[in-house]
Amino acid sequence: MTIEDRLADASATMALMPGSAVRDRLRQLEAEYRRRSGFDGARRTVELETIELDWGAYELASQYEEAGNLVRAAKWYRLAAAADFSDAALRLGWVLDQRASQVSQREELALVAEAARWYVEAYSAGYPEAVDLLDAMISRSDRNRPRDPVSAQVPRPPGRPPQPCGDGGLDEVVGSRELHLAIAHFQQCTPCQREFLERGGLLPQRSTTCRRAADSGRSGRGSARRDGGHAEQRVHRPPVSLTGDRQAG
Amino acid sequence: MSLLEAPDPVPHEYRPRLETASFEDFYIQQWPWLVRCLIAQAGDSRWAEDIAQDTMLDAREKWDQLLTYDRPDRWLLKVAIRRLRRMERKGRLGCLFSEDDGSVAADLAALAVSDAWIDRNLDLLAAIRTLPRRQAEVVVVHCIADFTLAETGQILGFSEAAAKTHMQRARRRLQELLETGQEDEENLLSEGQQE
Repeated sequence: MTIEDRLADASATMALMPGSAVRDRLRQLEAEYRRRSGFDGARRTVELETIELDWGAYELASQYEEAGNLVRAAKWYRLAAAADFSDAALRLGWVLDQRASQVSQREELALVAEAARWYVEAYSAGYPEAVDLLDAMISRSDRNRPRDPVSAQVPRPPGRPPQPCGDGGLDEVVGSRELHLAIAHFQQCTPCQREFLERGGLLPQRSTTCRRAADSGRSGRGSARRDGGHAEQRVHRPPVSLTGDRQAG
Repeated sequence: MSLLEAPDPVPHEYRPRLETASFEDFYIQQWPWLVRCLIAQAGDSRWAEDIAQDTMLDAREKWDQLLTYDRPDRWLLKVAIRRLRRMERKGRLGCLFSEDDGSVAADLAALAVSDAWIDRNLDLLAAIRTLPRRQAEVVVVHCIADFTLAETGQILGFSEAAAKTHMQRARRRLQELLETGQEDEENLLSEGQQE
């Protein structure tokens, strides 16, 4: 059965529910409706109105951003992003990132820190381009950070090639073990330490995907590698245009 | 034919344009798909049920106004999903619920005992729940609730093009997740047979 078939099947059967279960819920709702006070009603009305406010704040922020007023754009994007509206978190990160280049060094640090938080939020919501923007922002603002893991590679001395790590290397160790076990291994393993330096001091990404892969990998190592590879791909996705979500409605 | 090539789905019989003036009929018609749409994408099923009921209470409050809407089902889903986003963001900030895969599966498995639809689609729902939020929302609204991509964008607050992009990403990831799950099951079966 293909994914399309599975989804179509789920869609076709989702309205089937025992009538008694639905009627029980309806009775509860009617009881709640009769119990509610005037205050509850007013609170609900206001809360409902603020749902439309998210969209309004996002639209206003977009207008300010287009007009070049980044301070006001950030203010309104912040309101929309706090409600997890559309791609407001990504846009807010980007606006703060732009602002950071226009202010003093002290202010810059606070803006970069906030932008980083929103980029992470955007990434977890499903905008992989946030990682590239975050990486570029950190590269610009932190002069001590190695710019590019490839160019930061330590030149390998001539002679006998170094021995590989017996446990599969840094990706395998960090991606498929509990953190304390990975650290214990890393402290003992020269090949892993060398690999860490060659990557410019960057550890592979740990994610829930890796942990699941590790769990399933107890019976077969192949699946752990497969998911570990996927987690690695997330970091290196090419940047995608920010304009995708602009026409919010 | 892939989902993106398929023509826009025709709304199901159970979710037509409002043809009743009775809130009771409306509730009986809309409750199952609303609560299941939320369960499919929420981190916690209890939150999904509470939000579905809260949204229905809102519908009850403004029933006279809702009668004038062209598609009240679209309004229901929009309000419910936006409310869920807010609640889950607060939950994430306060670390109130766990988003790891084990908790997601356990939460769904507990619900599957009393809900045959969830039991039947357990692995699919678990896979959807592990998607990033926007991707899960698009899959649920477009593929399960059967709204067009344009309507999906309107409900979720972005353009049709953005909805399409999220859909493509979600589809790729779902394929990987479900195929990995199938392979793991087959491996376990073959290991069991060897033993």
